[in-house]
Amino acid sequence: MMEKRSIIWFIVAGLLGGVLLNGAAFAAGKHTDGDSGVHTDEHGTPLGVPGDPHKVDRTIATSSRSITSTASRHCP
Amino acid sequence: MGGFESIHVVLVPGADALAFEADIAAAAERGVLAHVVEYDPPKGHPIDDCEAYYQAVSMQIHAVAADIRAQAPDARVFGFGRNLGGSILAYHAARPDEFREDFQGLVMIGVIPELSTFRIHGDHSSAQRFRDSLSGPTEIARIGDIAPLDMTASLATHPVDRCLIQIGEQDDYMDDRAVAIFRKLESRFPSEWLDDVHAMAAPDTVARRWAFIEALAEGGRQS
Repeated sequence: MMEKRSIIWFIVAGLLGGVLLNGAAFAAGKHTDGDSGVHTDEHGTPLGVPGDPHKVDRTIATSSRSITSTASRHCP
Repeated sequence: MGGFESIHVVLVPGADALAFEADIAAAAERGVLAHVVEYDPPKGHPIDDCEAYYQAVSMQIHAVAADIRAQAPDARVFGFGRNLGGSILAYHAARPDEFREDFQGLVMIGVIPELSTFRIHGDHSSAQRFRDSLSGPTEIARIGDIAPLDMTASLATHPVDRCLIQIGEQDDYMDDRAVAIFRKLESRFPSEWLDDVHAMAAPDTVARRWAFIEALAEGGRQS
């Protein structure tokens, strides 16, 4: 019983942690596209550390995706 | 509807992927098909991999234009590029292959005219972060290597009557160096100084670029 409760708490804590981390990343970033954690400004320069816009936030600057996407979207 | 029949507009956003909502709405009002190029922000070395990145996005732009022409051979295709998207669109139009024929006209929207100059000298936080992302003084001294990718270099041989440059008077990315560069460019290209910010989405700004492509389309129809 005790073990089951621990597992449930572990899962709940993990989910909460994920939500909080995502929220923090979004708050620090100009743009995030949901699944990539990409954070750059309009010219592709990594965004700054919260509180110091002149310094690159290396924790998110290294998480950029590949450049091979070929998607386009038609807007009739 | 005016002169917008058979017109397609390819929208190349900045690296922040800010949506072209006002232009998509303007396109819908005019019965124009808008196509948004969705690309990923730069990856790899900010200097050494920069041209490969421009080439990769240029390939995506070409794929969109080629798809339009495959479906509508008589289509007249115009390109709007905002921020980095403008720099890459200008690079695309300067390519020495058939890619340069993809567009009948371009609009450069909030594009830093010389990203290399901006990144070497700029006080803006974006320029400082770019320098901060490099490994040290040796790499910082090489920022000039990306000068061939600057909008000014790309537009050097572009037909002057087929490109509109829109500059925001409230755009905090445009420092004195950028303004001086634009003053030179405006002697060659139609240029508009507008009461707008970096995203360049104010109603008047949007209306003016659509008027530009409508005039180009009318001219193309008459010639």
